[in-house]
Amino acid sequence: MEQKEQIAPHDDPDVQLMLRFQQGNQEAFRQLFQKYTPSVVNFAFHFLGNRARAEEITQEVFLQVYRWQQRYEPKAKFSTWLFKIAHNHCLNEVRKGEYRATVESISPQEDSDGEERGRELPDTHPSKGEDVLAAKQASARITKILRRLPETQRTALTLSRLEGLSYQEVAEVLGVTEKAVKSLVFRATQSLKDGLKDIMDSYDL
Amino acid sequence: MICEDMQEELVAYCDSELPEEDRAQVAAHLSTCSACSRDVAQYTRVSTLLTQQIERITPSPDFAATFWQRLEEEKHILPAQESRLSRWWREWRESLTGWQMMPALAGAASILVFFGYIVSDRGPTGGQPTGNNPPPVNTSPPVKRPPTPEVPALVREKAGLFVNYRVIADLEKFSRFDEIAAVQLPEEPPTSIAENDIPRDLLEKPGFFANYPMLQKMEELKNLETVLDAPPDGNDKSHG
Repeated sequence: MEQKEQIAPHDDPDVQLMLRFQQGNQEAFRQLFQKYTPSVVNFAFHFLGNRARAEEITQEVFLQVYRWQQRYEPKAKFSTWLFKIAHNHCLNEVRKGEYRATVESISPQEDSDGEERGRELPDTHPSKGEDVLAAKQASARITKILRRLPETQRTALTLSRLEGLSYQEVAEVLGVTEKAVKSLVFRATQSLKDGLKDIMDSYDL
Repeated sequence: MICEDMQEELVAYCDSELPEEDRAQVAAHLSTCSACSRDVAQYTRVSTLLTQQIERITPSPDFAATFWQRLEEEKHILPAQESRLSRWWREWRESLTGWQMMPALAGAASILVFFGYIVSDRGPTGGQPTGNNPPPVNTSPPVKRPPTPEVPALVREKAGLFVNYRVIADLEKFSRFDEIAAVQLPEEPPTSIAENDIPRDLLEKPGFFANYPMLQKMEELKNLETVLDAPPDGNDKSHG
């Protein structure tokens, strides 16, 4: 396994897009919006657990990028800066108290077939019906485990594993040390491993 | 290092996040330890399962259209209606999370109260007219200041309220607060509360503690919106 490469801010093509936008190129902003909307909306969704609020937050994040165009300085990758804004918005949303991500206390052993009905599940292409069931169970279980994780562990894990940020970039987003991120990701992974053990043992996923 | 202590390193190894030297050490260990090798296989499996099976959403069909419409509305509102002060205030607010805002607001409120205190201290007899006149020139004897009020227990306990006191320095850069900077501070700042975590900068600003009612009010309030909607003087009128 090779060590992840760190890209200097000015070598990041998205930083270049942001700088072009700063100089008045509206198309550059449009490209950034289109490229990062799916990532930000899913980041917010995993943070808040609510689709409508995730979309609302995503719009606010990009409005803020627009408003802050003149104060932008390429000190980090564009995605790091963007997720920092998104993280702050999500924190504000949760701490307002009007909305909280659902935390359910269902243990893995209590999960059953058909739980979380009505949720969007990822597309799978299984060869057997049993695999469909296992995939659905795993998906629902992952959702539950993530929601039960402490906020910082969940954020560190999703940014690292799903959005591809390095530990150092996650540390910048969260305002903690890289060592702390290493610990957060480990603990989150351990929780997932424990919570998914029976599914992984029973099915070939 | 025993295997149990290596687990954090193993996850970082799976994420390709170890520096070269550490990575080589872990790889060497894995070549001789079947238990850790099994753990690495499991962590990798968990990671794959997470990326493949996590629930993902696609933005609603009208998401982009709604956004561009909102942006167009903002483009018209922002330059036309926002003063320099309101834009600065809005951007500052947006740069802070809710909890960061609390101490920041305390700092901001203290500046305002301190400013009011300075104005009222000049009063009908010794005061200088405000407006475009320059700040008063300091003459001898120096302006007498009341002693620093005792710091309430609640304030002592909430050291976090003062963590963001640097915001005061930012506020002072703003022209509206120029007069505050011109005020002569006591040569010997009070030291009776210097052992606390409260920064010395604040000890030198007695007006800060005059705003204790505002701090109390903020304690009672649940979110920023409510704080901003609170009476500007920070007094709870319902208590008389």
